[in-house]
Order: sequence, then C-alpha cells, then structure tokens
Amino acid sequence: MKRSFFRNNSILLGLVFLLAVVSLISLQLGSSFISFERMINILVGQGTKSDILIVTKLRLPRIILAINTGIALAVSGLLLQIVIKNPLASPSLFGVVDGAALGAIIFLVLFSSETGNLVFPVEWQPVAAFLGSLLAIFVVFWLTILDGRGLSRLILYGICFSALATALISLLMIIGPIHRASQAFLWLTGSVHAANWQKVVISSSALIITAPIMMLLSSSMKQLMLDEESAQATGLTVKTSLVLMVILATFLTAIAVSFAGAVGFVGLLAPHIARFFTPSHGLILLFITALTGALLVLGADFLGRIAFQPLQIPAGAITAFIGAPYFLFMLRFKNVFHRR
Amino acid sequence: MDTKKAPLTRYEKVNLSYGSTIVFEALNLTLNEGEITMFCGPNGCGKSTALKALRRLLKVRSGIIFHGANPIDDLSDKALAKLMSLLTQKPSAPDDLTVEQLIKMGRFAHLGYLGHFSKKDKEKVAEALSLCHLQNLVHETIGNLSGGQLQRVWLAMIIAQDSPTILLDEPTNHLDITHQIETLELIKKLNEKGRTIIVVMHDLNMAARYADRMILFKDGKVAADGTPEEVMQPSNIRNVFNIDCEIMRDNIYQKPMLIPYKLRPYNDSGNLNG
Amino acid sequence: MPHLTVLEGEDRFYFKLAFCSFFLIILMVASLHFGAEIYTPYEVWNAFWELETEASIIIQTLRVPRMVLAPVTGMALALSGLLLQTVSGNPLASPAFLGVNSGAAFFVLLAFSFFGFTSLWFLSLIAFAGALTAISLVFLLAFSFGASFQQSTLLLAGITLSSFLSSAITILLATNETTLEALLFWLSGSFANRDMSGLIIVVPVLFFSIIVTLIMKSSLDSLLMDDESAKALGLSIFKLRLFFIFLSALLASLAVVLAGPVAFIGLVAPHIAKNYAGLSHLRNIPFCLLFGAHLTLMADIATRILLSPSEAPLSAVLAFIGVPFLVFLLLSKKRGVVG
Repeated sequence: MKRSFFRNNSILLGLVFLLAVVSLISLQLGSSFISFERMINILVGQGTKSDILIVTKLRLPRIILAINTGIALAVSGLLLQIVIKNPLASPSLFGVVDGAALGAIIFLVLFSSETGNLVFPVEWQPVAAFLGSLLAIFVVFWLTILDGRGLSRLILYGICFSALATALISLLMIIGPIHRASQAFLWLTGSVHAANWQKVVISSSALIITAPIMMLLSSSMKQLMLDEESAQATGLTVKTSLVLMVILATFLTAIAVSFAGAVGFVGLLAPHIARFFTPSHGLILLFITALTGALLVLGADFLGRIAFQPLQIPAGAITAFIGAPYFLFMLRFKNVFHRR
Repeated sequence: MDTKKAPLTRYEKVNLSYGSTIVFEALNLTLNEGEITMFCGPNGCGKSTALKALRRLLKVRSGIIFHGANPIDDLSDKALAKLMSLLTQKPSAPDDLTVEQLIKMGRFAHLGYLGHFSKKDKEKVAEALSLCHLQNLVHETIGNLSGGQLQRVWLAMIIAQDSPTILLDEPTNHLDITHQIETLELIKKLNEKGRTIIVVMHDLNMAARYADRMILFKDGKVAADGTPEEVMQPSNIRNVFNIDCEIMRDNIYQKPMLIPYKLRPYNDSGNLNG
Repeated sequence: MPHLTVLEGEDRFYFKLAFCSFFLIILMVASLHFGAEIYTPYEVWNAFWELETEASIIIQTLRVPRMVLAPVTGMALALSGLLLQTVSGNPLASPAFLGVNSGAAFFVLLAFSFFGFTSLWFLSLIAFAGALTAISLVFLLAFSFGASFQQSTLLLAGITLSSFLSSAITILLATNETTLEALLFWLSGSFANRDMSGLIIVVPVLFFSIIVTLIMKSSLDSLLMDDESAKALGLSIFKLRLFFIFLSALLASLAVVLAGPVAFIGLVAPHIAKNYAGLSHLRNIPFCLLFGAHLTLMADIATRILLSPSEAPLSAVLAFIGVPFLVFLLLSKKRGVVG
C-alpha cells in the first residue's frame, strides 16, 4: 500500500512537472521566440510592449484554454466510460459535440450577410455552440428518460441526435457560402487558436465549480466497478451518482467544445493512458486522467503551431492522428481492456 | 439465550412486485437477531425478492419493512449499508481488479467523502482477508481465480463491510461440495461472532444442517416456518415442492435430511398438484 | 429468442410481394415525372420518342439513370444491412454505422487531394477499397474484444472508427477549399450525374448475392440464435459469419460506388421488412430488397423537389426519414428489437 502511494504521487508530480514544462516551452516558442530573460522581464513588468502582447494576449490564454479543454474532455470521457461500462465510450458519442457543431454552424451560416460578413461579432459563436450542445443534452436525456431502460441507452439516442445534426450540418454547408463551409470545417476539427481571456475565465470557472463535485464523486466512480446491485448493497446510491456523473460529463463536454470546437479523441484516449499509469480507480485516476488530457491538448496545440510553420494545424487534427495508432494499439493489447 | 430471540427485522403487510407480476401480497414476517435464517422454496417463490426488498434493492409497493427500530426507508444508503451487507447472486467486477482492491470496496459506506482509508478500515480489510484465508492471494487479479476462490473474495468483501446483519443470495450456487461446506462453515463462524445471517438457499439439506430457523415460501406466502426439525416434514415438502419424500436424521448432527422420491402428478391446467 | 414465422400466411406472402413490386414500378415511373421540372405523363411518354427537346434530354439523360440507379443502390444497401443485423445479432448494425461510408469518403478524398485523381470511375474503385477496409477494421476490432460479438462493442468500434475518419476528412477539407467545393456534394451522396456504367458490376453482384442468401436462408435463420445453440445445430458459425460479413461489405461498398455515401437505408429497410414479413429470411429478404428500393427512390425524388431548383443532399434527406424511425425503433418496448 505504501509503495502504490509513492508511485501514484510520483506519477502525479511527474505529470504536473511535465505540464509546466510544456506550458513554458509553448509560451516561449512560436512565430517569435521569447527567451527566458525576456520572460522574466515581462513577469517583473519590464518587458517590451510586443513581448507583453504576445505572451499575455496571445499565448497564455491559448495555453490555459488548451489545458482546460483537455481536462474537461478527459474527465468527461472517464465518467462516461464508467457510466456506460464500456472502454470505447467517449464524449463525442453522446450528441453533445455534434449539437455544439450544429449551433456553431447555424450561427456561421444564418448570420452571414450577402457579402460574407457576419452580422453578429464572432465572439457569439461559442454561445451558439453552447446552446446547440444544451439542445443535444436536452433531447438525448429526454429520449433516454422516455425510454426508461437505463443510462446505457444514452449512447443510442446520442447517435440518433448526432446523425440528425450531421445531416443538418451538411445541408447548411451546401446552402451557405463556400468559405463559410470551410470555416465551419475548421471549427469541426477543433482548435484553441481563437483563445482569449474571456473564454479562459468562463471555462476555468466552470472547471473550478465542478472540481469539488468531481472529487466527491471519485469514490463512487470506484464503487461503480461493481455491478449495480452490489454497488448499491455496499452503500452507494447508484442512480443518483450515475445521473450526476452523466450530467457532469455532458456539461464539461459542452464547455470544452463550445470554446475549442470538436477536439476529438481526448475523451477516449486520456482515461486509457491514465489507467496505464495507475491501478487506482478513484481520485488518483481522476487526477491523472485530467492531467493527461491537459497534456494531450496542450501538446497537440503546441505541435500544430510549431511543426509545420507557417502553417497552423488545428489541435483536433493532431489528437485525431494520435487516435489512429492508438486504435491499432488497442487491437494489439486487447487483453488489457478485455472485461468480462 | 434470550438475546438470541430478540426480533430484528419485521415485514409488515409488505406488497412486492416485479413490474406487473405481484410476488408478495401482505407479507408479515419477523426475523430474529443473532440467528441464521434460511429462506427456501421453489423457483420463483419470491425468496430472493424478499431478501432484496430488505436490503432496499427493490422498493416495496406498500407496507413497511422495519430493521431494528426504524423503517428501512428512513435510512440513507450508507447508513443501511452499515447495518446490512448483501452478497447478490451474480456479483461482477472487472477482471483486472486485484483481490485487495475488491475487498476494500466493501468499506465504501464507512469511508469519508474523499474515500480515504482510516486505520480501522485497513484493519477490517485485513480481518476479512484472514477470515477467508485469502492472505496469499491479496495481489492476484480476480480474473485469475477459480470459482471457489472468487466466492471467498466476494464473501470477504461483504465481511469487510462489517455490518451486524449479513444477507446472502444463494451463496453456494455453482460451488462443489467442498466449497459449499467451506462457505457455510464460514457463515456459521460469522454467526458465532454475533452476526445475524439471512440466506436464500436452494439445497434443503444444507439449509437444515446450518439454519437456526427455516422459512419455506410458496407463491408469495410463508408455507412453513420454524426450526429445521419443524419445517422438514413430509407434509410441508409435499405442499411446497410437490414431491413425495422421506425425512431422516444424520448420525453426527442429528439434523433432518430429506430423501426425495418422486414428483406428484400434474393437474389438468398444467400445474403441479398442491 | 425471437420466433420464426416460416409457414404462416402463404397466400398473403405472394399478395404482399405483388403489391410491393407494383408500388416499386409506380415509384420508378413517378421518378421520371418529378423534379425541378414536373412533367405530365403525356410529356414523359413523348419524351421517349422525341430527340433534342428539353424534356427528352432531361428525361433520357438525367432521370432514366436515376430511376435505375436508385433502386439498385437501395437494394444493395438493404440486403447489406439485413445481413449485418443477422450476423452481428445487433439490430442497430448497418453499413453506415460500421464505417463503410466514412471509409469510402476518406479514401476518395485522399486520392483526390493527394494524387489528383478525378475520373469518377476510378474514384468509385477507390471508394470501394476504402469501404471494404473500414468495415474489415471495425469487425477486426470488435472480434478482438472477445470470441463472439458483444453488441455494443461492435457499434462503438464502428462509430469510433467513423468519427476518426470523419475528423481526418474534416482536416483534409478544412485545409483545402477547392477540394471542399469539388467533393462536398459527393460526400453527402447523390444520384445526380452518376455514371450508369457501374451497374455492369453492381447488378450481377447484387443478383448473385440475392441468390446466395436465398439459398443459404436456413443458415441465416440459425444465426439468429445464440452462438452455442447454433453450434450445437452443426453450423460453423465463424465461417458463416465471415462469409456474410464479406458479402455485406461488398454490397455496401458497391452501393458507395453508385451513389457515394448513403446512410440509413441499410438500417431502416431491414427493420420494416422484418416487421412486415417476419424473421424468416426466405420471407423477409424479398421485402427487404423492395423496401430498400422504395425508400431510396422516394428519397431521391425528395432531393429534387425539396430545394428545387438546386438539389438537397441525399444523406440529409435520408437522415430526416431515418432518424425519427430509429428513435421510434429504440423506444418501442417490444422485446428483442433493441435490447
């Protein structure tokens, strides 16, 4: 028991350290390199105007938004995998992501004037996306309740909603002007390039509000490894915790995709990677999953920014391309994930 | 011996149903503290249902189940778990869980909000491990265990829950005779340490050997209730199971044993004659 | 275990068959009449014998191919869906959910944007390869989780692969606006301006598949049971499954060749057929084919009318029909439909 305690803590510390390093590097690197010295100057208020602008207005919010997005998606994926009891469950299967996409694209297409300008400022796009994801949550939950055969049916109605949303999206993209369609596609890929402090504040506060609930739910998460009757018999209020977990998961996904678009595969990958690091099924797993997710999105965004300069690859593209090899990996090491 | 007879659980006019099929109508039953009570009866007679309702895995349609002084509906899930543990018929957990991890799950109701294990929690887990002879398997994953070992692990989880009352739903099902005896001896040991035990059993002979009190259910009613000697009567068995039989005593424990002879004929409507 | 209605209602079977075939003919004729321009039967009749009039050009070169392509595609998809549902024991299995469409689209995009292939005929071949690759991957993945299929795993594997491929597609499209413009319409599936020459391959394969499935009807029926019972009956389940999966993938991929990615036919048609004609394959295969053809024809007519004079994407129209149907199916309390 002692050994696992140290092991868990060193992994946690290692991940935090890694996250700090990657953050720092991605703060420095980019179209212009900012040295340590200049960074310290900015910190003590001595930096040049352009340095301050680049760091505080462009890179810092982008980094924090990437971290927030990663945490939200990863935790959401973990919760959903536990609720559905299937290691392949991920936030994108519950209609929330496609709902957000639909909202964002309706905004882009409907509020474009003839000349191709937006009638509303683009800052309103996340609001539209959030409304879209709320609609998805509402419809999918309503159908699941109507169905009354348990939460695992969420996934089926999520698929239904996604199909309809995707159809509407393709219809709208064909009706709308072509440059809007390509803008919409960019959104669908998922990227944190349009980060600003407003988004950072909103997404951070959402995470801070939900964090205590997540931590309180962590021991229930562990207990849900058992079948529902046994879990109930050991004292867990199964229904309440399942419902709480799903609501939390969809809310987190909605927050993440509203600001960063449909960054795929983080919710699927992060919990699996985290399980590789720790035998824990509770609080430690939750923390490691969150950190892994943050690292994934931050790393993907950093790579996309640096690797193909001056071209910027959206973070979602990178995470998707990590997803593919992982898929093969799962094929190869199937026994790790095989559950009876 | 007076303490042994103190009533603990009381079903008062309990109606129970699965969907639209009614299992119990106005069930009245009192179970005593410190006894091993065995629920027996044919398939579908409602014995598991009665057990699950007591542990509140099924909501009663009407009526009240008291446990101790309170109706069970007044208690929170955790408070109830501290009073009663239940081993279900087919418990399941991921194969990659270790024995220790699984047994620790039994402590859920006692843990704080963040799931931290206190010294007492660890002691109870260690106690359960040694009681079930699992010390050598602590770090084994449960996917690698045999059926008998697995059943001991689940029992250990229930024991770690450290509740004064233990409910077991067919704990010897699918076990060979060695493991059946092993399990029932363990149950007896727990009873001697002061736990109240309620078991759903199919095997009448095993039930008669270990029970302080046997209850036979039929069609949602109590058909016979009393000591094994009182319940194991040819007339009761014929009434409940529709077989002719002979009751004997074993040489060592002097407990009743049933030797079944043959099935009584079916009546015109396809039901067994009762 | 759902019960098989093999011998009941012999007469009504033929009556129903005749009725549905007749309805197919009506729809095919209707498909000649409706579109951006609506013609009277008289005008249509004349258009066949005239040359160089507007009506004759529209009907002979545009509508006749669609009248043929739509039902063939529909039949192929419907049969493919039926086979998948039977083989996987999953009532939600359908070619689109198992990655056929996104696989095809992904390969076509790759060929188009990196290698500059533009010949429609060649792109069709590429699409076929993509579809087959994707569906094999999905089944491989699902198999790898255990010897027999776990229902939700198959579905999740398909959807996860699809979502990976779609994000790859999205990236390809987002980075290249000209590709987007050229392929956006192909990607949503349509019968407009399609090549009839694909039929040379598709029709014989479809015909062959129908014959084979009808001959092997009793094997298919037994696959509805659980694995062990079917094995006990003496079936080599694994080989049978592999064969039918291949056949199904082949049919779905060929449908992609004809019409691009089309969803929902493979899901909806088999269900209507099973409700209409029972679970015995001898009986529901003919209806499955017919309903597939009906649905596709109706959807094709709708694409022409809905946004007239421009065309609505076929997959969108089908989603508007298919999703409510799917929801209805999921909500229906009937045991054994979607457990």
